[in-house]
Amino acid sequence: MKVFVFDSAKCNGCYGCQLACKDEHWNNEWLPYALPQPDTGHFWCKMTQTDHGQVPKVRVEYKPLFCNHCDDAPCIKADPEVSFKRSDGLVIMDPMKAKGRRDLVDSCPYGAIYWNEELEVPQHCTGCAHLVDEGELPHCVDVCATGALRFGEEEEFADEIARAETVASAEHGPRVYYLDLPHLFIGGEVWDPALDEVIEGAKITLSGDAQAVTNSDEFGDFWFRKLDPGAYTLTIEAPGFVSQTVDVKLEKSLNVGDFPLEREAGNEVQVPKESEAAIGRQAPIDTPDVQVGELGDVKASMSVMSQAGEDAIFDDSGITSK
Amino acid sequence: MGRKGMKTYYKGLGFCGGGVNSNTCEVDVKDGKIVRTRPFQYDRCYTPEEMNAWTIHARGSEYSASMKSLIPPFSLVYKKRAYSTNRILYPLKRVDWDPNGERNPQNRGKSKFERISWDEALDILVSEIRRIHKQYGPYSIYCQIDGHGETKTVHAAHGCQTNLLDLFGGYTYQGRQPDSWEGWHWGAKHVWGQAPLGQADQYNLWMDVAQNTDMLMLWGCDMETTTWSWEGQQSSKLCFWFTELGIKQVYICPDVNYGAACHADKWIPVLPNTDAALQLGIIYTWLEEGLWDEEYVKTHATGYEVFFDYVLGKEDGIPKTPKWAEGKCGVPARQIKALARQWNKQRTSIGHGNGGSYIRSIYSHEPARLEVLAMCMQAIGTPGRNVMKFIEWQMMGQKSAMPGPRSELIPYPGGAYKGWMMGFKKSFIPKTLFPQAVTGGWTAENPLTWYSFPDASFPADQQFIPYQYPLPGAEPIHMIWSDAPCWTTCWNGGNAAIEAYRHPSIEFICTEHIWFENDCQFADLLLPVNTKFEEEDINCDTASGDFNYIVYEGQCIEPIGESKSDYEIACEVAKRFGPVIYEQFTKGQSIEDCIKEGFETSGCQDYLSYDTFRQNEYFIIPTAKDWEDDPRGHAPFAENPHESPMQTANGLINFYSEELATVFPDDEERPPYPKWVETGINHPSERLGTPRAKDYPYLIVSNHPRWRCHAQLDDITWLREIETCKVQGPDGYLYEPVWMNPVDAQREGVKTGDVVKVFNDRGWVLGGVYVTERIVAGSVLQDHGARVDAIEAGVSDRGGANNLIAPTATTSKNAVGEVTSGFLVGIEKVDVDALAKEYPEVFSRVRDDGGVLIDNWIA
Amino acid sequence: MPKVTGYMADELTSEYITHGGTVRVSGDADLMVPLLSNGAFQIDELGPGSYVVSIVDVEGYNPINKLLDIEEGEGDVDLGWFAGKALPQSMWGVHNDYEEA
Repeated sequence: MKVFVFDSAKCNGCYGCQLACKDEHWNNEWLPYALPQPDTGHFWCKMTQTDHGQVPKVRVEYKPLFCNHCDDAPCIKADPEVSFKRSDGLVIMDPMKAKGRRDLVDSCPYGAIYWNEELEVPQHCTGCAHLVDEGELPHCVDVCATGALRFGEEEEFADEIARAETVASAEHGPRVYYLDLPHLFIGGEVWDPALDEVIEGAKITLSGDAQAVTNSDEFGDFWFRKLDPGAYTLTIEAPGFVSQTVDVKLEKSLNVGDFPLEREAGNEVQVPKESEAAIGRQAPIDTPDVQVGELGDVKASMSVMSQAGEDAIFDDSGITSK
Repeated sequence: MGRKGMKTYYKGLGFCGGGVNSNTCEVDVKDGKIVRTRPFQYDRCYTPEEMNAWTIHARGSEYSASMKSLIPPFSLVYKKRAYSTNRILYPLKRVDWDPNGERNPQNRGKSKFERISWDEALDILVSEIRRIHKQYGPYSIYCQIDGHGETKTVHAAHGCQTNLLDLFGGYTYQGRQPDSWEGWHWGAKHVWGQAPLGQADQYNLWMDVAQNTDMLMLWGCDMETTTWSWEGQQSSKLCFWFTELGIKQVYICPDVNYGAACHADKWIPVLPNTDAALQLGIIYTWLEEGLWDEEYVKTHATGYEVFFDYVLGKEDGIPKTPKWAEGKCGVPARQIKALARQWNKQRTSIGHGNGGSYIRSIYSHEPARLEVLAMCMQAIGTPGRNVMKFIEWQMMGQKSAMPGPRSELIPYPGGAYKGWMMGFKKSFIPKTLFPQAVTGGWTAENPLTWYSFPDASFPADQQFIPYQYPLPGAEPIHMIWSDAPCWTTCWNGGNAAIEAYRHPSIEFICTEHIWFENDCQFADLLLPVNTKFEEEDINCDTASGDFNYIVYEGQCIEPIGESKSDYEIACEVAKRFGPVIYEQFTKGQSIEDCIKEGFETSGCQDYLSYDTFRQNEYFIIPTAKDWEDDPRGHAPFAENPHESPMQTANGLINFYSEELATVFPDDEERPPYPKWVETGINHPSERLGTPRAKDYPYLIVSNHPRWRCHAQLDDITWLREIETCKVQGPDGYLYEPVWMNPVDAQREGVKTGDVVKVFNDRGWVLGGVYVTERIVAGSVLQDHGARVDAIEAGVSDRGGANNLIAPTATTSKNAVGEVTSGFLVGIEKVDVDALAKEYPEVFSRVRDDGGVLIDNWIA
Repeated sequence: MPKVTGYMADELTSEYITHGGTVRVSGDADLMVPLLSNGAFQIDELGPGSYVVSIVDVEGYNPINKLLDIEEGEGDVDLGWFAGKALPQSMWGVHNDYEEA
């Protein structure tokens, strides 16, 4: 049985898979499997992208969606005269028999079927059956330069399939597997405002809907990854500093912001502030940072500019002389 | 069915041009139609042993040469350019341009075109050349033939006509300067030489980084973008391997660029073009805390004392502390200190990909120089500490420009290349000064003057030579002949160029191009050119990173419309000057003869016969047997600077440039040693905190585009469906995205899908808002190169071509580089319906999913 | 009938070409004269017409040409400087200097 395996950790979001599908099927006819795809509007391979986090903890997740070539496909159930599953597992909708059958578009709960207005036929990914018949790879897989997208016999991928997720529901028996999906993250930074230094080695404990412990790194940064939406509590601790605790209602990936820790009694320091003259010009934009709305229960400070100094001045005297 | 019954051709679909190929693909054709484009399988005719396929070992892991080309999306969609609805199908002449009557230069960009025959077109072109030569002289023809484009050899995309004009004494050359790495040329070359590029030696850096580097700083670097046009996706694959190896990748840039999106372990947002401040804050920290290699600096560099005094504030009373730097660049002081310490503590290399605001903005020579000094202070060349490039491998035939395993040969089909040849040209105008040169009314007695023949490849001392236009005894230019019509959307201040195109002194503009785009609308005569799918050629791919190879590129499809190749057009013109000229120009060679000569001069003739080559249609040059023994990066200099000196007078890294001090003693924009230059004579107000920032409070990041190669590919329908490629406005038009941080979006009262003006005192362009955390507040991002869809040509544009409003003033007074990113703009929401009422003709231009159509300009 | 004169000198160095060559006229006439050892040439008589004047067979140099249109009644024509272009050393122009051994 043929399967698609997608490894999120290797995807650079080049959209090559989505574009390869268009290259293969626009203006090309592959009977008995597929009539030509229209120029635009169809995404038999549909790359999706999701921005995660807030400045400066931001990543992008790329995830391509395909026909899942389900073992128990709803589209086949809708009309087994039109759609069928091949012995190698690929699900095909006969373009001749499907003519005029706009109703079949909605038979797929995953939106993988598209209506071709001009040719009056529903269409979806064929797994490039016409290429597979010749021992070639589906075009989207062939062009994947990083090896994020692979195709082959189920047995080849047995170990990976065991730890994979699917986008489609298990009840339909999907044959497209996803590895290393990032889910959500919580990230932040720990620092010492008295010395204006990051704190490395602070202990951050995650509790609530998941449990984990990590330490802040050499930049004071910490991350908890592959979380699901839920309620969490973060406890930030560093020797000599007053601990902090914050509750997080996680709906999207979250930069919980930076945590300036207060020094405990007996651990204070005196540091002379740099003179105005020494600093020269203050923060260069005209209004100080704002805190954007609420994300969960946490106000995330949105930009590094918030550290630019108490009184960010817009100085319109013009040029600073050297 | 499938691939059976198809003819497969090899085609290099990269965009470097100049006969330097990349992105070699297999193009399947059936019944005269391009069916699909696939990666090129290296092992169809040769075994991995024959290729000496390589593997890099590092930290218990391996990285090997691919057995097929790692083509980017651009290659997959390129057939759409052959089938574009904007092809120039036949010769066109502007309706109100009459070479024997009124020429109406002021109407360029406004008037439409009518179809004429090739005969008529060539008659016009030839008689105009004769007239210009007789009336003014050969230097009055200005050739815009520089730049990137399809990588063709015989049918070279740029400059075929210059070899013809050279037969008649020459022409005035549009002098290109490096448009992606300005600062290295105008700055770094004065520190360490390193001509032709001014950038670091790359020998075996993949191995050095993989084995020894702990932290890789991707500084203004996006190896997931510009690299697509130059080499494909080798760098993507490589960076995923670096992640597997545990090398921390730190991205320093204003945006979560496409590399940061999937590779970054840490993003340090920095305001556009403020990196010099960040670098100074880091260097200050090193000096204060003794975190630099004093012994190395003492033995490998000179002139550092005065520079250190500057950093410590002894010169101007302003110590360049992290807190000072924070105020300039937006990076918190504590992060600057942490970064400085890690750079010292961990073996740190820097990665570059060209493009972006780090190196294409005002005073770009400063961050470039500071980077070299900083790397010197951390002992560049010691294991794990080098500067790696993700692009332009083996550029200009240089072994030192290859970070991957060395090939036995860098082939180049020199004998077949018919395009423009690099090298000094007597009469030239720096491309960045083109608008001024035309509109300034200059004469030989009162010429425009500047320093430097700006070609990227020349060494530092070229920058001290003064030049003038027009040359003594010469007339100004009166004719423009272009095969690279994209000045408006690619260079520094396109609106000023439009003024130049319309100037009465320009009597004739002949443009040859494949599609009706950008500067084409300002031509008087348009000649249709074909894509490389429609031509037969030979090419050497030295950019993939896997192997070097030579391919025979058969003709896939018939020429579309009446199009010819640029070389064919030049031959047709040559023919009309008589058989003597035609013979001189073609040397009596057919295309087949040229292809054969290309092979026989490529270096590959030592490996196999031409007949075998034509049979296999390609040859893979083996990797050198001893590649692993090559020193890494600047290791030889690090180990013994006297035996392996830098290309400077004293062989060392010069913190202080004696030459700059001597030739330009009053230059405060590019002083003898690098500084933070807030403002200067060329850019009195182009930073936040300067007066113009009140009206234009954002710095624009105008990167090399993600979904184009410069100006190429804008009309590909499949790319335009991608959300980061175009944003659909309320009127259904696909606008060029303008990334805005939620903070700024809120301030301006806009949301994703709204249309805004991006404006300054040079004009305005429209864009579609894309609210994202991928851009830091205080900055907006709009990629460069969008197709111009002028509202009022010279003033406003719907397409989002922000180069139209880039500063015309060059990098600095004495450095004629371009400034096309990191400049001030304002943002203002617009009502597209109101604009449509104000400009009904413009807003009702006929368009399809690829954008506005050529039909709008055909009478 | 008009006399036509000119000379050849290197485009970049302005040095006269003194090692000889051939001056060929084509188009409405077909004739040849030598390039003299002082770098100059002279065509004694050339009537009205459309021509190309070519200096060829100069060692180390590409051919160099000028367009010449002589109208009825026009006098002597001095074509002046034929800016000779030396044959390029490599396809990279100057960059041979930087190629490693």
